Amino acid sequence: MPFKVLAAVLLLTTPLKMLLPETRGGGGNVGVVGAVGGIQSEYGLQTAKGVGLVGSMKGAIASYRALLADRRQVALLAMKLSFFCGLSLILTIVRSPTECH
Amino acid sequence: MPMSTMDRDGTSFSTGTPGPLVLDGTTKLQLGVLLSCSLLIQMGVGMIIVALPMYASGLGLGAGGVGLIIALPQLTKLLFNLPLGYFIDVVGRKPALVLGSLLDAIGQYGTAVASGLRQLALPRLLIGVGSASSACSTQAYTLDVVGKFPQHSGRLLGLIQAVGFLAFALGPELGGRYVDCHR
Repeated sequence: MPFKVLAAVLLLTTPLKMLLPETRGGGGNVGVVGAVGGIQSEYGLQTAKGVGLVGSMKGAIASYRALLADRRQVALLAMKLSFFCGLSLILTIVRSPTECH
Repeated sequence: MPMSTMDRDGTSFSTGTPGPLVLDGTTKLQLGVLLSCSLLIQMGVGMIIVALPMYASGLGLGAGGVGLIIALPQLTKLLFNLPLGYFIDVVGRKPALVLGSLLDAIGQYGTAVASGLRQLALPRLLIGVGSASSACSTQAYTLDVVGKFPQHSGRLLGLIQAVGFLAFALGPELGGRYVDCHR
């Protein structure tokens, strides 16, 4: 039942999301945290519109390589990783005390 | 009054009290839709977390089964998150936002009607793709909106996170009541 509720919520919110104006057109320079009106990226990341899947993937790998070369980005990644590790632990361990009662 | 200063890296940033936050109509619509969708969806996710052990035992699955139900979507999220992030930068936020929600909904429905672990696998993997797409695009969209108000980004991100916390407070409560009623 909760899965059906969530499926219904997701379907019902889809038309709402379609009301949203697009904030980013394709192509151009991409800011690290999402482009706002074509801001020049600190890392010089490029989108690869019209170069096909392989070109896009190559561009993606190059972009992520550039990001991971920055210690600040690695630190952010580590913070995110630790948060989700903790969350996963809680999700699996929380079952035991609830089952005890 | 905002003042400009620099940190040790030479990065310029503003300090001091920011001015009043004035949102235009489009931003209000964007934030309203993002926040209401986020509230409803995260409440649903919160409900599922509590109801998951009951659902798994109904299918005859043990703790390992619960772990697998949680792990399968994470696997496809891991595989698809980077390419989807790039796709979102290339084609835009909205297609990924809508498509991700639809895939997620199909996966959730598939999970609801599954009667065994084998039938669960495909919907759970689909949920991973859908939720990676919608999560990436929602975050990118949020940052696009918040980025228009750099001096108020803390306040706006705080508001967005507060809605998430509210959803995670209400969702498990509702899920718990549901489990109590159907135990």
